[in-house]
Amino acid sequence: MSQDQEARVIELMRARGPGPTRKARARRIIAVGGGKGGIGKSLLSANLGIALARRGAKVVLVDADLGGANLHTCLGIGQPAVTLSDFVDKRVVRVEDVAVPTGVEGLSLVAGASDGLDAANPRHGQKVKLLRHLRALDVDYVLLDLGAGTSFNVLDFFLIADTGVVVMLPEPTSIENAYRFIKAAFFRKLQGDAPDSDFAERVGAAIAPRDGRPARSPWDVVEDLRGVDPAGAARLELTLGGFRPWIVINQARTRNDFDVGPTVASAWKKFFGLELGYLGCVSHDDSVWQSVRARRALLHSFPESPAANGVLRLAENLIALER
Amino acid sequence: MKSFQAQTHYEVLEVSVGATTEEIRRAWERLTRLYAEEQIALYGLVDAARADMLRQRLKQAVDVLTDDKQRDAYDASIGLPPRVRPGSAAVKPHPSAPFPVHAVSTGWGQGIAWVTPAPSAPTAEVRAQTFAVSVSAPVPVPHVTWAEAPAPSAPPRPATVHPPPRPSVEPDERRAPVPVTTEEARASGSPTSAGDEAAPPQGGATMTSASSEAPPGPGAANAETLTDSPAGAQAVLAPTAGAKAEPDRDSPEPSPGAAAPMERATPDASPQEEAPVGASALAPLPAASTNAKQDAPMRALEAEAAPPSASPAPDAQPAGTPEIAAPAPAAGSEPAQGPVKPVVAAPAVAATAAVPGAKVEEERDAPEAEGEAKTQGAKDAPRTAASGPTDEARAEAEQDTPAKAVQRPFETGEKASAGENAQPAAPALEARPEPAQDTPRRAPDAASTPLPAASPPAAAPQAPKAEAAPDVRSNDSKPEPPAGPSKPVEDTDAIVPAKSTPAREYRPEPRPRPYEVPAGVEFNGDLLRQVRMARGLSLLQLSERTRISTRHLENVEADRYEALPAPVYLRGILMSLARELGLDGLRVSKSYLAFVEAHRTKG
Repeated sequence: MSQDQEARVIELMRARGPGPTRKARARRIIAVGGGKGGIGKSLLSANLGIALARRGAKVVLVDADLGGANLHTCLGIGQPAVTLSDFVDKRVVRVEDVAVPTGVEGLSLVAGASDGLDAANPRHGQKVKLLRHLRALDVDYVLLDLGAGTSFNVLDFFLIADTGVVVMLPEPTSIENAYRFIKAAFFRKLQGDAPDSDFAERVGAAIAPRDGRPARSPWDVVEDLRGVDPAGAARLELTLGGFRPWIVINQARTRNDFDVGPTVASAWKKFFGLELGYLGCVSHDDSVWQSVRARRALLHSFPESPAANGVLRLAENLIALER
Repeated sequence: MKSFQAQTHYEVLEVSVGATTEEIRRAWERLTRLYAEEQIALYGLVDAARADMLRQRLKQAVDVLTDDKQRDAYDASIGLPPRVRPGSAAVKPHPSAPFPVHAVSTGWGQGIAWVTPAPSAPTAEVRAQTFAVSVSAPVPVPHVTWAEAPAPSAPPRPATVHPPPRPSVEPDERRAPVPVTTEEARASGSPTSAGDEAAPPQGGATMTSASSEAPPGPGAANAETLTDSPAGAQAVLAPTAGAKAEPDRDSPEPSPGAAAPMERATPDASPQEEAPVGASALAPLPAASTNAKQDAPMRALEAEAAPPSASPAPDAQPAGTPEIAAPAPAAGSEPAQGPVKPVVAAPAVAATAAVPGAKVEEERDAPEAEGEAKTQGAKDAPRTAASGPTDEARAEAEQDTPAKAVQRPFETGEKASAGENAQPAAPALEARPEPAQDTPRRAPDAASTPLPAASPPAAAPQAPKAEAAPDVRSNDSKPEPPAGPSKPVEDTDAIVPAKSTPAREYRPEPRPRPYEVPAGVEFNGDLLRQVRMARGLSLLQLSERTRISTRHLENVEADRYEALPAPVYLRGILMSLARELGLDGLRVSKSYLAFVEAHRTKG
């Protein structure tokens, strides 16, 4: 592959904006979450970032795991001098200025808050500002590595993303948490879009029925709403239809494990009538922990390993998602 | 989208309505494995009781669908046309078709039919099938009508045929010429067994037969009237989309202006229609369904007569592009239909340029047979009438088979689908202008020069109109918003994307619903191009969406392997291309790269 061929293809991947007058905007924000800790979110984000950057995209990795940032370690670089804390605490004006190079061309890192409670628990205003800045980054991809749990901080980052990726392991604990995470995100999204909290509640209840209540699809609730408030119903419908996280199965070992992803997606659809995409799966691989021990990115240290291949496939699929 | 309780058996099993028993069984086995109790995937999602319900539902579905009798009954209950059993038709693959005939539908209301056109005109009985679906109950209109075409005695219908060469009519004057699309005539002996099966689970299509001789009057397009009239020498598929754009449909005099795009189906091309309407809403109306079979001989006669007859009007005919405008009068009767929301039919028919020989032949034979009949029937159109029949065959045709089946796909008018209207309609919009403008010219050489999907500029002028259509209708409380994803694809084997009209579920997903291409089909550039055109996308549009340069896209479609980038990059290109086309990216890239590899090792 000659240099110019490469350049041409790289150009293909770039957005063709109408011109310099266009307002800068991250072409695509991808959030990687999953509810449970230790399921490989950071590792996947880091390596996805590398994979995307290798494809010629301009990528910013954002360690949005405010309380437990370690994306830099996954990438094999030391603790950066500037972090998100500097932005949150207004020591730095633009979020671009806290992005540090990673040694991979096209990939920069906005490291997470290192210390201090302030940055780990940003006030609402700070968070909104950060979200706004992230959206305005002039890059091809913004990859958000979310923390564990289903706190509002995590969910809000997840929801601003164009593509929400939910990582899960083929283990009951992880799957349980992943469902919880997806449902929580769904609730959170509804809160913004439902005409009133009552309806958000009811639509939400359809997805997480309590004992004794008949199981209903969220769509039924929307139907109910239509009689009362057609505009609200239409908006809610949009919300429901637009809510489509993508799941990734990590550390798959057996054949059944590989089935888990499609099953989860299919079950979600069957039971709730909501979309859930299946992005792919990464197999369990010893090279992963070895690379973490070595503090090098998986794609750098074991580019041929099954796990690395899985990550590359995920990146392909992510790119393919794009319209 | 519905949860599984509300889904049809087909949706629950995630198979197409045309699935064979074997496929159904396999799907069931797969799902049974996926939803087995020991599977952890359901853990934490729902309680055990609901998981059990799902398993029972799966069992019930497979029990019904694997039993022929029960399946037939079930199909009828959800408004599907009768299946064509494998073996009832001799399958003879068209040489140009890289794949046999298939009609498949995705679970979500979109279907596609791969039709292999038969090289020759209808051999056996040609049937025009009428199939109308209404969504809501109150109206006496048949929910599902499966009428088979020709009954000479049919009440007159105002469908008129316009000779193509009158494109210059003012937009305002354009009354609602119904874009006539595919005629669905099937040689029953032909391979297209796909026809019936193609209709997706809840699909309903409107294919109403209207007699063309009818004096222009309201109600022509009316699904109701049409459906109960068994007449129809030929079936014309008239998507109301573009045609009805004009509010003043009522004016009876047919204006040729908005030349209705007309697409001609090869005899065995069967339009796919489907409407994901709530199953409950669908009820087959047996009363309205008439099965009249048109005699093959008759057809043959007409077909033969057509070419030689140099009647004034016929400039279009040889190429099979007469435009038939179903006068707006349809509007008049629409109120009667009230809530009828018939569905969509989006048959796109094409003749492949790639395989000129077969195609040409097909175009010659098939369209003529049908198109000829159309024009005959439509003689009342001022112009055609003037021209008069030139030979006996024509005269005969006129007298005996005045009826014409007009198939007009409608879209459900549900608000839920409002958002979606624009999207599915898009292909139609783009496609429509092309026939309208090009018909005159194209007619003579259509056989040899397949037009690519209309380029954006071409589409531009007419697009607005078409888009306006739905609004107009809804404002008028006209129940049948134009659906028309039917678009004339000029070349290639017929790829018939059926449009989806979700009853209430909103699908903001801008991406096209995936096409299911039968397993084993290799994706070469030609197929990709066919799919693109079936999607109604121009190269430029596709390029804008995928951000792949048109040059690359062209090279991919033309199978110019040596001009393509290295496989690793080509793969990305193919992935996003496939994604945009609603195909399985992995499969496409794998398949295509195999060709590339073969080429490179060979050369």
